[in-house]
Amino acid sequence: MSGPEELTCRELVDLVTDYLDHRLALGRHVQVEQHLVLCTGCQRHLSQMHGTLRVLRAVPDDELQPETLGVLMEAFHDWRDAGEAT
Amino acid sequence: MDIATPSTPAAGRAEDRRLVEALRRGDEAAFASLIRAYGPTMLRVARGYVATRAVAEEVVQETWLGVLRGIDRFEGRSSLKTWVFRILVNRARTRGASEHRSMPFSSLVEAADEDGRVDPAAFIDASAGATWGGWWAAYPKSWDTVPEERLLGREMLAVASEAIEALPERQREVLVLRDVAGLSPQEVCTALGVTDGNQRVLLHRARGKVRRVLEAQLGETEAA
Amino acid sequence: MIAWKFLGAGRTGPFSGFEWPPAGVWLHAGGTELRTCRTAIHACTAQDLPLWLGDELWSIELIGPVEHAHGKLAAPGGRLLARVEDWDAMAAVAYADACADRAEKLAEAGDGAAAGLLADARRCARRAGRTGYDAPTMAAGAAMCTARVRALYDAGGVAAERAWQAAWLCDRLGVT
Repeated sequence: MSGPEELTCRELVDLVTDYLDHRLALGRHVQVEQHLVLCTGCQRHLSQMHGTLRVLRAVPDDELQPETLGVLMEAFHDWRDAGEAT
Repeated sequence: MDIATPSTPAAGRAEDRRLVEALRRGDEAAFASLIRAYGPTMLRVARGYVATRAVAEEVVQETWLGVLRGIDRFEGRSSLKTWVFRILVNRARTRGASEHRSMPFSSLVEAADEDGRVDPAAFIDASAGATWGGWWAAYPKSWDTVPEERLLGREMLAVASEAIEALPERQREVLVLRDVAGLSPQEVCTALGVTDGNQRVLLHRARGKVRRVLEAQLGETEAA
Repeated sequence: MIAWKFLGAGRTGPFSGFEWPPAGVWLHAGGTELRTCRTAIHACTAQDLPLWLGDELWSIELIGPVEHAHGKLAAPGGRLLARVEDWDAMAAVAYADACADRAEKLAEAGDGAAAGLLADARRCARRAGRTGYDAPTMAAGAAMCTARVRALYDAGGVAAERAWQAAWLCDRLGVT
């Protein structure tokens, strides 16, 4: 079994996206976690990635203008009334 | 009628079927609920391809028209959301290309683009004795002490938005669909027509860039 | 099967931050919450405790089938049973010191690499007791340095030293 000392921090940083997506082979995935257990630097890097994802999730979407909604509902009526709806 | 986030893939497919059938019947409320659910995110995605918000709204409108015109052909092989965003991405790319918004050398820039990576100088040089080569030379800062109101506050969200806008197009596409719109890796590959391998690399670089920008922002104002 | 699980402060998953329900409440992998363990409930055997140090140690009951690979147990479901109160920051400091003492014993005189690793182990052990540092992380670092020292002289050194470390922890914590 390869030990945590075989994974460097630089390597972990390159793997972090795949780690978060559960895309790493099991052995690699566990290597990442065993490295995290003993590495403050990588713990913080992972925490920063989690924080980044939270910020991205919180980025507000723009609301569509009411005019756009109006245009779309009108288009829907036109589409429906043209007999396209079944 | 509101669109709830489905709890399982099977529930998602059932919900999709219900909505598609309602649209085909001409159910106005179903269409309105779809626009409410996806519209704001669609606008954000479109905004990444075209010069103005007004044009982005047009792209979104055109997308919904395309959805209506194609709804009879939707077979449910992908999720409804994926299908809608695929149409959106195609329209937005077309519109963006006709605006010449994409920098002509963007693909070359991307190939050489390294600034999403953690600065190599942050790691101990492997040549300086083998013991700790590749390990952190100094710890990154902890974000755990940043209060939630600040991390997710207006300042940081604005900085994140700018960072997204500044990404190379292919990285921005993947990041917005994955991390802002919340599509799965497979959905993003389908919507963008990219391979899984590409999607992973683009996402990694894009997230790395945004992280660096946020880190810099937190660092600058930390003394306050 | 009864096994062991290290968690972060507040009963949180050490890598995900996911908050575990209180003892006695079953958790099943693949649940609908976004931050549930997606693939399985994870735990470890007493032998593998050194690999997974964290703030809190719990006994955990796993339902089968349980897989054992790469130092981890994986099961479709589990529930925390009881907190091992003897595992705390002080225990982590004692463990770190014990590992650093081991490194000193194992390091051969005149060996520069060993001396460097010993110094690193001592530094980790010192930091384990200081505010501003995470005691289990520092202890795990000291332990890793010591395993590396042993590996300088013995191809199976890492595994052998991990076995010593597991025995120390089990003895200290009353774990079998």
